[in-house]
Amino acid sequence: MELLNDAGTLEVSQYSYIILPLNNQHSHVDCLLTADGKDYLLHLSFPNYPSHEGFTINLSYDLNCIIKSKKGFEEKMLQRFNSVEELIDKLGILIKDHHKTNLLCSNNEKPTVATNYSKVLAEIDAIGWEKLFSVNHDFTELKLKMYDSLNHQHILNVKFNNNVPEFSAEYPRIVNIEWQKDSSTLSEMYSLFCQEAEQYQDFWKAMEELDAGCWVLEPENPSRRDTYRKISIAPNVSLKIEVDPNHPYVFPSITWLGSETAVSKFREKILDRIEAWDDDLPINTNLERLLEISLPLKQTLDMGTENYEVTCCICYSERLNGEVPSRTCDNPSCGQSFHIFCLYEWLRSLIQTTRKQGNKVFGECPFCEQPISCNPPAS
Amino acid sequence: MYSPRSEASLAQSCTLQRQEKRLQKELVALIKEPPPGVVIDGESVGQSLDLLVLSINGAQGTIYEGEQFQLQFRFGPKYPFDSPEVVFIGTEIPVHPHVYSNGHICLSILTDDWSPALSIFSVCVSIISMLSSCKEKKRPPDDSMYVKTCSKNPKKTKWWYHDEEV
Repeated sequence: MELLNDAGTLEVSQYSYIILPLNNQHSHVDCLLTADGKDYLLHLSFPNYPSHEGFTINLSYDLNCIIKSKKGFEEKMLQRFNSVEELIDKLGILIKDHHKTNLLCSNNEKPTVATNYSKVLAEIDAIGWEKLFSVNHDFTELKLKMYDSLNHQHILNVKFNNNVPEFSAEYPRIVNIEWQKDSSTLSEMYSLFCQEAEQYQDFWKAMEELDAGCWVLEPENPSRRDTYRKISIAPNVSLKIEVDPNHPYVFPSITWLGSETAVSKFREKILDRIEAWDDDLPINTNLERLLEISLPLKQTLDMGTENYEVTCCICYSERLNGEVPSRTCDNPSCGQSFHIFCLYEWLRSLIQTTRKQGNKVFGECPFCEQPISCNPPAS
Repeated sequence: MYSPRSEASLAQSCTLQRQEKRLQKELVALIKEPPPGVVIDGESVGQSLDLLVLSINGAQGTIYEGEQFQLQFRFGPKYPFDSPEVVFIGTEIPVHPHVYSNGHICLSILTDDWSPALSIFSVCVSIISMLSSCKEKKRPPDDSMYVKTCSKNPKKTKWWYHDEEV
């Protein structure tokens, strides 16, 4: 207990401490323990000084947390010591150990982060700061502006996942890139994506013409990534067009939507005149020529727009899981439309009136009770 | 970048969304243009999508003229593939051969003959027409027995549909 006679300091293997007697009787002392540049405070009481009898110890909050986080170490272990020095030594080792395992080296928290920042900053320097569109708070997500030869702006999204960047842009096809951990740079990838945009110029032009030349029902807000459009043809008839990004002006793949009776005349017209498709004309112009109609435009249809949208009469929605109603009751006086998903679920729930053949279910239209069949929805 | 979600939870949330969407559309249409004789309290509607209470006025020239009843719809998670639970609630239960004194209604479209083609609107119309075509106020013959023994949920009752006229 010699140490308690005076305030003193002592260096013990990379941690130091100061003991401050708080009264003349030395019954209360504060102890400041410094390890790795971090200070911890504890308060000791010796009501029966110089005996250790009835001794109590109060730890500061952060020290308490360290002790609590230590599995297998209990506070009562601190009650058994022969000298204050031994107690401090015990705590000092504990703190050092905690610092080591938690990488909580006071000023040097997560040393990898700072180096990452500077790496990313250097990468942006190389690309040019004027290209930076946005960045999140910890520099793990960047948005970079790209301009193609027609001066369209595109956004390249970069997301760092464990230091490996993932790239995405609103292109109709996924860009295949290989990220070499040591040699690849962001600016390399940036120029790769910029080049990639050039091959889709025709595709985007074709889609822009289509969007301007007809009433697009779907997607609601087409992005440069979307290769399909669902367009209105006539009341309760719509057409889904899937455009090939590499050959946007050839005859696209089409799916008719609407009741069979309403759709058949349009379908036949297209089939009859398919040779008249002209690869030099916009898709909508070609459709108008083949169908011999002018396609309805949204602005011209303020009244009764609802007729143009096919809603499923089970869920009352137009779109379900991204799908539009594609099954229609063949009874011409009924003609109700269903999502395959909804109709299948309904028919399958009727054990008594529904037959099953393979995967296909046969039952009654919930509206007109005429026979209707349905394949299971593609999962 | 797309994050894959578990198929089951996706299907479940879609089913719920689908039900919500349909109910919302039904309610909007119902408030805008309720069937004749139906009064909807716009404030109470929409507070909860699985419960709906509306008032039915006895039609003019019928034996229920001047009376008002409260009709309660409860929509299960499978609606519209499964019928709603529809009962009269409150103190005024119409005295009718197909309406038990606990509010349960014996109407085939509410169980066996349900189809998603039906709706809140069409159920209301059916119940109003069931009331309107009635000539004599009387309880079903098995009323006291049924009320004592039935489940709280009328859909759990194996109904024996008496006749089609009333």
